[in-house]
Amino acid sequence: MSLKYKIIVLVGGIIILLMMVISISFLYQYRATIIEKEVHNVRSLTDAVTIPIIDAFIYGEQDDIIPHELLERYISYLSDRIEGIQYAYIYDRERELVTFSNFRKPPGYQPQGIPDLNLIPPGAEVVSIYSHEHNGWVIEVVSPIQIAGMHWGFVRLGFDGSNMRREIGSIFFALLALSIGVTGSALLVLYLSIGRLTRSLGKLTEAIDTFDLMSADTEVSLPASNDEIGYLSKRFELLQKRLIESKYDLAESQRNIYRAEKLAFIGRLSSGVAHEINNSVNGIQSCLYAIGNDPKNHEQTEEYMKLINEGLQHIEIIVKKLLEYSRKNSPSMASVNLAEVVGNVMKLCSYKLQSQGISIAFEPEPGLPEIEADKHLIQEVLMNLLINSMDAVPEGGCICIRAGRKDRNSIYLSVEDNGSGVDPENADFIFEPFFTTKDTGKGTGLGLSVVQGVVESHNGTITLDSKPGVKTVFTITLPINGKHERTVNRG
Amino acid sequence: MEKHLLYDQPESPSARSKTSVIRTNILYLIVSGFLLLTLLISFFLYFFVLDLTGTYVSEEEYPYTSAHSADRPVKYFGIVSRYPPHIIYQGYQPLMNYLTNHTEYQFRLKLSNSYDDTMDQLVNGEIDVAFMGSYIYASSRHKHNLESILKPLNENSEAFRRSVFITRGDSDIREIADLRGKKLALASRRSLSGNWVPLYTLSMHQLSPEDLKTVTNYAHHHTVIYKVQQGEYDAGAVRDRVAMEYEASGIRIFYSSDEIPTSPVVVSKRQDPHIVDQIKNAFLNLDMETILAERIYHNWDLDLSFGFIESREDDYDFILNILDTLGEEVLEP
Repeated sequence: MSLKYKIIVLVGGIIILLMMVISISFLYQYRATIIEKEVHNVRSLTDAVTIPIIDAFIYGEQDDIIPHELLERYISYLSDRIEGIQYAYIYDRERELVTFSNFRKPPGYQPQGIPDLNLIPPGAEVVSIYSHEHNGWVIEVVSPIQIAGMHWGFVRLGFDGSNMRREIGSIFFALLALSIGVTGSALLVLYLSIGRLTRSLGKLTEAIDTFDLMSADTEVSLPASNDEIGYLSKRFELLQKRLIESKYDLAESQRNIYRAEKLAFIGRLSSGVAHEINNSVNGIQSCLYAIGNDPKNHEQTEEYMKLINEGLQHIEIIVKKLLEYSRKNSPSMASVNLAEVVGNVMKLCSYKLQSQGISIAFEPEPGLPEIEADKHLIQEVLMNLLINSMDAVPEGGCICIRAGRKDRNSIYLSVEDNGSGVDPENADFIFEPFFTTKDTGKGTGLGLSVVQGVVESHNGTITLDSKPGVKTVFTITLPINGKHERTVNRG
Repeated sequence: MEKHLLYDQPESPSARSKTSVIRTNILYLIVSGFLLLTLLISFFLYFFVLDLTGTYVSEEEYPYTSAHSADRPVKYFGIVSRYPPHIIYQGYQPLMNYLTNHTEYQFRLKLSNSYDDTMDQLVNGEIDVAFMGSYIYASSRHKHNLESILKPLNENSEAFRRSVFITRGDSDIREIADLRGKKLALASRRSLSGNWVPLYTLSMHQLSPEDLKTVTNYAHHHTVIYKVQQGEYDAGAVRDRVAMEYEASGIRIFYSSDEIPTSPVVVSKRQDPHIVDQIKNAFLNLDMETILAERIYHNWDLDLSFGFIESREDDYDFILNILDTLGEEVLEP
């Protein structure tokens, strides 16, 4: 759930709960007040009504009679004068009914749901409210007819309670409408406010999301306000500026690194070339010196000429490989069966493998497809990797060649051995020309750089995963159709 | 050119739309649930609030003295009722409760319309004891063999009162002699302090009613006060306590009479002495502290609030002397 709705649900819920609590409190307060007022009214009315009844009882007492007739007349008088009175009952002190009248009900009607008169103490006054199917809501007062402890009986008066109930009902609906109105308004204001806030946040998020460092000069529209969002926008603007400055600094640094790297590369290349050629040239010079000292020694001359030839051939090989490395001509692409290529290379190396006691295995995955590649170059690549592995593994070591589909568009080819491996500090330079860890004369230092050149000319990649003394894996990835599959690095 | 994104890429439009629909549905569900809940609460609240059934007042029982003495012999206390019966009961029923609580009898009020009726009731035994006016007692005690046994005390513990002459605060009447040629209002002709004593006072100051412009009697002391206040009369004569009530309302007292014994509690000489003793003892032990301690007497008549002392039967014979001085015949009941 979004922040907007979380806030609305949380704050809205609190507002609704608060309004409910406040409204219910008010409602009960009003209800209690209305009931209290009405009870007070009927009690006051009853007190007033009771006075003539007391007088009647006193007059009757002077003559030793109960003044039925007088009381009946009085009750009848009440029905005419007091609006809302429903019934009146008068009892003597023995709780016997003296007289009664139902002003609106048929004769013989008795109110129901009233308290038992015998349970009421002589001096107590009881007000009760009850509902009756014919009479509706009634407020009944049972009041003693007494003065200062002189007790003549009870008067029981029923008053119409429907007005009081209607008043409470009106207040209920008024408070309900008020609560709905206030809550609705509060929620609407909340919704609009939060909407404005989240729109600003969304705008900022979108700006952050679409910020492109490569085209960072483009103006990005950000929410401008004097609140926290505006402050955040300003901080983001500053961040943008710092990133752009960093981009230029980075580019400058990269250029410097590139220049330094190029110079270092040229240095290493020159020293490699010089080293390899100097060795041969020194040998040739030594041979020529010996021949010059003893030109008539044909046997020596013949032997030294062979050595000179070998030296020149070595120089030729170096120059040739150097040319191959730098030439990077487009390979001649054709459909290549990798299993076949691997088989050929394994045959070529079989003698050496056997002589060193190295076991070799080829584990192609089923369904290995043919690829578009230069067969000879791929063979050269595989040969170079195999030779490296053979040089690295000790006697009795093992080499495993694997091939299979990497994904829908590419295959992999890996050569794994359990030889000495590559130290981590050398891993960054291993594909550079003339970089070698082999003994002098054992390698030109051009093998892996040529391999990398060939792989890249096939739009492929080569990676190294080495744990010295455990295993070393060179993995080549090549597109099946020979075309470069552009990938986007996200992360 | 490859983008360098600082953030994860946003959801695709279709995924966003789907999420949005789910969110909206959840929101609708929550809102609908809340509305339904509110509706249900309102519904139940409506019926709960409008159900007013219940008992809202149940007051403490008023001490019902008579209930504790229902088996005792009933004795009737006579009293003249100048007001509606319930007013009389408010003032005197507490006294009956007191007597009931402090004697062996149950006392009840017996009202009558006049002192004459009370006198008759006392004579024919309908009542056992009565509050009686001083004049009526003095004038009839010999004929009907009556005896005054008690006199109420005032707030100064004095068993007498005075008759006072009053006038308006702005009047120039300062003494009795100033009444010559003025209009005078008096209380009932049977009232000692409202009629006979004032007339006697006039005579003591060498004035007769004929020396005044008019002399008129009214039934009640309060009526006299009202007439003077309204300016219908230049002066009036009433009981001191009644006049004092109105001193703050523009009434000025300019003359007070000698002491007049307060109205007596009277019995027939034929009455059982034991009952008389019981009544006397109860009244003589009555004081303000007792009245306040027993809250049932909260409406006790003020004139009877300060206790009683014994009365001699000839305490009121001076009234006969007054009448004689005035040359009036005794108006017997």
